[in-house]
Amino acid sequence: MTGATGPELMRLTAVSKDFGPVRALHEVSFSVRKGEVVGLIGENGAGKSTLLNIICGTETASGGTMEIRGREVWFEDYHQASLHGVYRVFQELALLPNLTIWENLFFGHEELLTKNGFIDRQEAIRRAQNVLERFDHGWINPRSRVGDLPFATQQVIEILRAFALSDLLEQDEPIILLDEPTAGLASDEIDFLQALIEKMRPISAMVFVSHRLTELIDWSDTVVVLKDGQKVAEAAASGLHEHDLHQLMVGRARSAEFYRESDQTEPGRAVLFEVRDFADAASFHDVDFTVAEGEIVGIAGVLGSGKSELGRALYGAHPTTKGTLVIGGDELKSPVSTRQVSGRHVGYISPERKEDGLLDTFSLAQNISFATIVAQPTPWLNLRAEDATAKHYVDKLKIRAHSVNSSILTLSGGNQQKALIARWLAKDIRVLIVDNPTRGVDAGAKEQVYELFRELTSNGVAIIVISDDLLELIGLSNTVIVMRDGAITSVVPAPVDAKPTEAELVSLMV
Amino acid sequence: MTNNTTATVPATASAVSQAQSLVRRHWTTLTPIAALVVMVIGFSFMSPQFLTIENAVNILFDSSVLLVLALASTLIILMGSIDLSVGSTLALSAFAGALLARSTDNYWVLLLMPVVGLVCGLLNGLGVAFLRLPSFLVTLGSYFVYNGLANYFSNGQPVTLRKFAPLTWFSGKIGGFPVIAIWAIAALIVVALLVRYTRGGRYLYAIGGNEKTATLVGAPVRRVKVWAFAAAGLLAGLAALMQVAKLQSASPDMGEAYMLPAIAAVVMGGTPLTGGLGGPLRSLIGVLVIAILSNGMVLGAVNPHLQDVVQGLVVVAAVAVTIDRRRKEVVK
Repeated sequence: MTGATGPELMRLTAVSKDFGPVRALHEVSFSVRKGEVVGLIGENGAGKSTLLNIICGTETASGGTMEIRGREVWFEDYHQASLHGVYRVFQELALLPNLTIWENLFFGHEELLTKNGFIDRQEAIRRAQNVLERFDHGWINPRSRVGDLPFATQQVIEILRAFALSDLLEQDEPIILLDEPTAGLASDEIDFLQALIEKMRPISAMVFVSHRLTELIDWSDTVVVLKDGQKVAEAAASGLHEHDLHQLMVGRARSAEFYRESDQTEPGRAVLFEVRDFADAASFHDVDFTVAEGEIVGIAGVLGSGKSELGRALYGAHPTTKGTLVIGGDELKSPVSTRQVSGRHVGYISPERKEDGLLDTFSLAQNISFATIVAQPTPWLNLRAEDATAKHYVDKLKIRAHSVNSSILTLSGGNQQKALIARWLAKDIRVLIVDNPTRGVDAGAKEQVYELFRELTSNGVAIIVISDDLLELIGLSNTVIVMRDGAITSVVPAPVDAKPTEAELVSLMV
Repeated sequence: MTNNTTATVPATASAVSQAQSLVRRHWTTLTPIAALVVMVIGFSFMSPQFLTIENAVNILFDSSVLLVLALASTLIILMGSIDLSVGSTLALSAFAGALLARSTDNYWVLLLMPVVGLVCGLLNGLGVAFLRLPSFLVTLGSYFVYNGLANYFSNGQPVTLRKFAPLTWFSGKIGGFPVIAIWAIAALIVVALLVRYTRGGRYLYAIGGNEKTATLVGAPVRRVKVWAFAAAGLLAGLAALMQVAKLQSASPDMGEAYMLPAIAAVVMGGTPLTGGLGGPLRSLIGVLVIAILSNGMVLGAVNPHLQDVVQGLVVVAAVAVTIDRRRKEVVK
């Protein structure tokens, strides 16, 4: 810690954000000085990204204030934020790969680089060259296409964009928000990034989000810990140890009742789903495990651990390079297709409801019936049965909707999620794979989802739960599999009377 | 925190909001019908011949072929795809049939026209599904290919046919009702039933609504696309047979006039280009709007060049009213 004493560049006071009934941020306050790096940490879903979105104007706060260089302001969009010297380095690179480096560096602000109404290429390239040289990347030609550069260099360009623009806009103290800039980098590249950050430190204020705790402690002056949308701790980085952070990040009390732990069944003897030596091209390898009748297996891991890709692959929806699935006694060698897997009484619920979960032009009833229709032997539809089945599940799952014929888009997130579960219940499934089944779902609906899972397992269904919510994994699972960098690093038993703690899992994950 | 609170609506407001939501839900059906009513009333004032039984029969007679082509387009547009080649498929099928009939001197081979159309559609479908090309490009290409082949076989000359069976099946009237319109309505009923009551029909909507979900749940998306295009080709071939029967000739440019109206009718009826909503019955309304509009303008002696201007404006206005702007904010 350098004990930054520069002027305060940004201050957030009691910032809140609600998504419908879900409170994503609750009165978060912190500030950043010039020369300071604030590390922001928290579990997935703790509200880090939402907070950065609010700062740079891509989302609107529901409450609270922000001061930038002493002036109270909310930005309307990212362009306006950058005009005020606030820059974001995105987790997923926000570069245009088909354009050159200089075009990317000044994108959106070309009007400041014009001569007689045309873009002054020479001047733009000279400025780009300047920025590259200032940060030890003079060897890169600013005329090269960004898409042709290696990932790490693209990451550098993404960061340097903040400086290129602040130069152009004549700001001398940019505020830079780094959203997991190290997620895709190898260790030597990370060292370089650290050097870059040290170089920028005296002239800027930075907020740094990372899952890698060592880096976070190493690089930051101050660490702010978010949990469930609230700031639970703020401390000088110098005195911290990883272990302290684990405790701070989690440390929620788990309610056994919430997760219906008393209904947890002992797994039966029959193995319904077996994974042998599974691997894909990049995100996971050497995955072996089995799921028995009535068992819930949880898969934990940070973003980038490969758990979500594995989840899709288990359903045949992500290409694999090797391995075997054994489903109900049938051996399926890699590559496995979705139709092969879903044809064997396996269902999958994707973490992105809007992306590939909902059929958004369909009614509630049509969403519920779709998997059944795909699987039924006859090509004829029985619309009356479709409505009756939908009504049955609407009652059973307490789905709140105007009618079963209402558009699925008129339902709340929790009710949409219940409809997606109903889609598989309506078909006779024996194995259910769910990825973040309660994301964006309010507490009441969550409980109902858990209750439903218990009911399924008591009927012998095997469930694989992939989740960023550790309490959910611990509460639901018979066994928790921990993944790290694409491999299973530990298998933690979680019987009703000896559940692991969050801190134990976190220490295995990071 | 529970969803009870979010879904509760104050009792006083509920009646009004229910009426509003009813209108909003059926907005895309109600507006084209309202437009039809307005047009019928307007044209009745403009021309005394408009609101007569004879003219109604004329309109049915004139719009039969367009209806069958619009049904073909509907199948494709429901998937969020587009078929620019229905008109040229009609021309090629008509020519293949007519030339074959003349050279073999056997008119029964005219019944092969739908088969030719099916093959044309099948090729489109294979291109879309297995080469993974955008339907716009595949059918833009096949539009030129099928038109070009029709011209090549015909040497640019029309082929005239005599009024033998099976062409006679499509001509004349039954109880004052044109037979050709009965065929078109039969096609409408069959397509509407298949789309509503079969799994394949449901898949069309699912692909238009969210292709990724449809794939993930296990629908055979590629196979459905191939069959949908093939079915559209079959319908275009049927339309060719109807058109040849109507004109007793096949000319190489006979499909040209249908390419855009067949798409416009579908969209005006309320099936959005992004797919997933709407259906064959909607397209009937779109076809009637187009047919009544052009019939009324002819009777009302509107300048023929201005008729195109009006048609064009009506298409844009209809789409502006019926399109659902919540979906797919970015259409690339």
